[in-house]
Amino acid sequence: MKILDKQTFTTLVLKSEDTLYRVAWSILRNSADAEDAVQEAVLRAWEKLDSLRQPQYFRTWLTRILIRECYRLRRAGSLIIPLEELPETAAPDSGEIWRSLQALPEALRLPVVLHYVEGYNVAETGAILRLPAGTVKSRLSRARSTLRMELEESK
Amino acid sequence: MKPNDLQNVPKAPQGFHKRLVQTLDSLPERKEGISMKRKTLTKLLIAAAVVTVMAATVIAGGRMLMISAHSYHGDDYYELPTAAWAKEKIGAEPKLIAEFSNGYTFDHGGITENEITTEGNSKTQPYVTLDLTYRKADESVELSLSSVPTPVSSDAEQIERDGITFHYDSYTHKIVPVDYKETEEDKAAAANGELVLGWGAETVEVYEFQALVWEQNGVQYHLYGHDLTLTQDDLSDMACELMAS
Repeated sequence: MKILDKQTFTTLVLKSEDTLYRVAWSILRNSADAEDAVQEAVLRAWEKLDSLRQPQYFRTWLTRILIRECYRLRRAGSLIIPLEELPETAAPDSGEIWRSLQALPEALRLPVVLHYVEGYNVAETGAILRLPAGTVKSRLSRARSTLRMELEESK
Repeated sequence: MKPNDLQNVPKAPQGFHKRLVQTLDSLPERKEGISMKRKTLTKLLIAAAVVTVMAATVIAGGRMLMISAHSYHGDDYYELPTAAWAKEKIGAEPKLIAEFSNGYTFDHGGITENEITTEGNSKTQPYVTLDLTYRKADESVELSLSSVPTPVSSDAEQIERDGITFHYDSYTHKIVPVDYKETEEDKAAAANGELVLGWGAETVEVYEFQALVWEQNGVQYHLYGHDLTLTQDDLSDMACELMAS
């Protein structure tokens, strides 16, 4: 199997730039740590490029590496931020739904970000999070109910 | 709600994009069977350990707390630089050699930017180190050149040879993951000067480290490596050969 060359790797990473930032931000909840996690994930992905079996799944594969990196950073640095302390400006230029989304517990938030924001289908979301498709669907359903209630209360 | 339904979700900030581009530009070329990042990380950690451990004494401005070092793969070079080029980079003209008589040959080099933080949190002007890697079969030894001398450990052995004062030090260098817990054994060995711990590896890595340090004509030289088959005398021979070149 041919390994991606550096130019192709660079192009694919830059195409996923917004996805990577948003996924990292969703876990780490601050911009500086999200940036660090993405840089580290890119380096790891380059190092482990031969573990990418099918290049058409590059984005899924890279996102999985990123999520692992986010959790590693969080374990190393205790980056848990209580919900009450989330700054108003944490997600600039974002809509009401995005803000409500950030208040969801991570187990629900991450599947929503991957599926509804980044456009991964249920199977891809499950592959990234190492969850069965049924679990992904159930979490998406719970997240929608919670968001619906939050949005109704805020009116 | 459908996929891609959420409007006004944030995009990556401009600073993030710039940094990502820099990271991508600096990716090392892949070589078969070699984990480039790990080797580079190891080299950086070892280089940091050299100067950190060698700085047990007080320097002007207060006790040295740490040296921050950053290197950029984009500045790697694969031909031995000229003395004039090296002088331009580090501010003093070093001795350079392409091949030692024991078979170690120049392989590649890099540039590291450093900054020293002293007690009271004041920082020196950033300064540049030239790092040259010499290889012989599977073994490599590093030669680091700078015009900003870092203090030498009081534990280092002092050797006079060919009119030059050399300082030799050796210890076990253990590089550990960020969540590693120092053992009592680690602490005792560190207190004896036999062990240096560095953080940042994926798994625990242990190396036997040797370094020879000397100064001449405004340049400080560090000749060092880990798990070398070279002895202290071998390193001294190489240093004398370099200075006589």
